[in-house]
Amino acid sequence: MNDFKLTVNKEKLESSMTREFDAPREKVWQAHVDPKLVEQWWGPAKYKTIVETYEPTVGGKWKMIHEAEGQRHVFFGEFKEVEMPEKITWTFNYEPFPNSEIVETIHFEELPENRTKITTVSHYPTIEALEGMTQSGMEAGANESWNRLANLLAK
Amino acid sequence: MDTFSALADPNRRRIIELIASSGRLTATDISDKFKISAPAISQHLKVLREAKLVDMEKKAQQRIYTINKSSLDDMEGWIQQMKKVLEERYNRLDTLLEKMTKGGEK
Repeated sequence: MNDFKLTVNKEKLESSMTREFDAPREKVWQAHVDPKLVEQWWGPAKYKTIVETYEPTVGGKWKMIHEAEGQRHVFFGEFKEVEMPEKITWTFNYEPFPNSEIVETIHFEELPENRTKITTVSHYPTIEALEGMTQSGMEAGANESWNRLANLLAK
Repeated sequence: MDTFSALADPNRRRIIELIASSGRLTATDISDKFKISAPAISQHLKVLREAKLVDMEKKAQQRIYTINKSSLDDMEGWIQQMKKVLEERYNRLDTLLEKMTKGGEK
């Protein structure tokens, strides 16, 4: 199983996720830096992902848009480190949260049998940004208060 | 301010929970339950009202707040969707990598 793991460290204002893939590291890397490949997997299934800008070099910009049924979600940022094939650091902004820029580093690690593990560490500017992001459903386990609220409303 | 930005603040989420659990609350009731100042609460309530998460009704001197249920139903749907985003995303990457590996043989 290629388990997906997500942990949140509120003191360090960090979230960290890991996932393994049945593919060699250079392929996983390629899928992260080639915009034609990125747009095939990055967005959620119900949205059309438009890669408007994607320049994976230090200082390069990126901008991606999810579109569906009149909804439009815009994500953008800048590449800070691009160390082929080991590490990418980029800044990540979601348009409705203008003061919540996240700095995200993706590590690509070779595993035996041509497998690859990626670890994404996201650093949030404030506890509000971290909570806002996790409460928005980025972390499956952090939805207790939403479930409580849903139960209250259902009564 | 849109719904998600309105809810990015933990105090505002707490206010929503309080109103939801009581059904209806006055601005004073809400203020009494917080350590932060009444004007700050009043500002949070304004944001929530503008985001259509709560409704406000004036009765004599009182401002009575209730939950705008339809907008929260939309939220819940969106959140459920977001929860799946990352897992879906990596499953799609799996599929792509499989194609790339096969296509790239020899």
